[in-house]
Amino acid sequence: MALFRKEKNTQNQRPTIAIATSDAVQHAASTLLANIRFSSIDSPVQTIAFTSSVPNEGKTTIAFATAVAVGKSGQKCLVVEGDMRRRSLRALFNVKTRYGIHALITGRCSFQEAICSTGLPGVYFLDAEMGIPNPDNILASRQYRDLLGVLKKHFHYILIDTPPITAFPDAALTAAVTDGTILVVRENHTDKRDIGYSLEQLRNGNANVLGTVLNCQDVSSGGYGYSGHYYSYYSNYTTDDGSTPIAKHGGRRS
Amino acid sequence: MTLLELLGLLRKHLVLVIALPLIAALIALGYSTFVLPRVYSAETSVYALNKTTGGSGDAESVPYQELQSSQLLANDFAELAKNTQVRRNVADDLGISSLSGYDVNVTSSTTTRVIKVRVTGPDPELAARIANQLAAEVGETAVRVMGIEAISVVTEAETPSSPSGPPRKLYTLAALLAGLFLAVAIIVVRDMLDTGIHSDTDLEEITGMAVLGRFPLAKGGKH
Repeated sequence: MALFRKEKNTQNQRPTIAIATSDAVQHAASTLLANIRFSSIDSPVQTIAFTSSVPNEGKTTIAFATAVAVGKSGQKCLVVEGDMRRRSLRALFNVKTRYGIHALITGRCSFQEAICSTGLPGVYFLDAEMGIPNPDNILASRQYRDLLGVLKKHFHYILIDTPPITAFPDAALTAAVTDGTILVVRENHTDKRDIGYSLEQLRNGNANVLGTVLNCQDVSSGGYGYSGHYYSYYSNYTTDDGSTPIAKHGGRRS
Repeated sequence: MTLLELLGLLRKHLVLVIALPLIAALIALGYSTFVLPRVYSAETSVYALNKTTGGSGDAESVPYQELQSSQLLANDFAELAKNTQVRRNVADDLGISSLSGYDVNVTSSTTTRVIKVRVTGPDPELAARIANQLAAEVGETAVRVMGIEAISVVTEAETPSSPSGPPRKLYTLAALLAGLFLAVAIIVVRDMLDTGIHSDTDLEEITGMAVLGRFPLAKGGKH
């Protein structure tokens, strides 16, 4: 009997390659990939946005693990850093690129200069530069849509990591220009109301939500673990150029 | 919430479902045994002879109306037993200040004209004396005002040797059921207030969408 809710660790645990490439996670990722393929036989889904309601649900890890699974299956996959406010993929891939998505959109570099290989078979990476002004403007731009269209010709899958929906409009904007969106939900972490709000936002933005992914599924315990511990995310979730988040919706409403 | 879900939920919190009724029952048992005062019941039964049929001796052909009237008679008896004048007379006769603390219960079976007067109170001897005195007083009044031929006592109330109450079994059972109800209520309300996601079925239910992937809880880390 868990009469009292346990306070969980409020630290944002950064994704690691070791976890994302572990057997259990890779097994889950290939199942997810198969389900994505099944979900869209008529109109193939090539660009997929990975998003979640609140921070720390595991978007990046799952996008990364799925990319690895695509690469393993012999197809080419591009991972795009769509969270321009707090980049995390570059640390995961452990690469440093000179150019990123902003330079590519504004025509300041070539595809070869912006997209880098990652050392993982079939997995390529397109980073976002530090301090991109108004990420939502870029994501909503025709240039971004065109860029994805061009990239689709070169890669089987383009997986885009996005910020949480309840914090910024970025995810909904990205979802609107991708073929499919996957909502990552972390067990014993995400509030039902936040999930409902996120789905509403995605649908309002005309996103094709393929389905959900349950992260951190703990088969052994059925305890209650929800707490308002993603507040900390907002406090250090300022944009690289120092501006504050535009949408404040979300968090634990009481 | 379907019944199946409710059962599953109850099974998940089986400890509470079992422990709470048991604790409540134990408390009720202890309370009724050690805290509540013991009460004793003394019972006397009287027989009412109605004037219209009295003396006919035709027991085999008691008309239906009369059977019904025996029930009415019992009701009248009960009403008389509540009468303040009657009660004061009984108290005066027994030399006590009032009948407070003594519960009077008048019953009769529908098929007989035997009326039972049961007095329940803390003192066994006094309960018996009140029962007898009350039957006599009520009978006297009934003869006087209701036109009844006579009230004869069938059995005198005897001093009860063992207590009749408090009804420990009843209280314990009631507490058991109340505890069970409370446990179920707690579990259901808490489930309703719980806004977390605890399984893929939870997730499917809320979103109405397929769960495409299930990633395990990584060992040593949360991601």
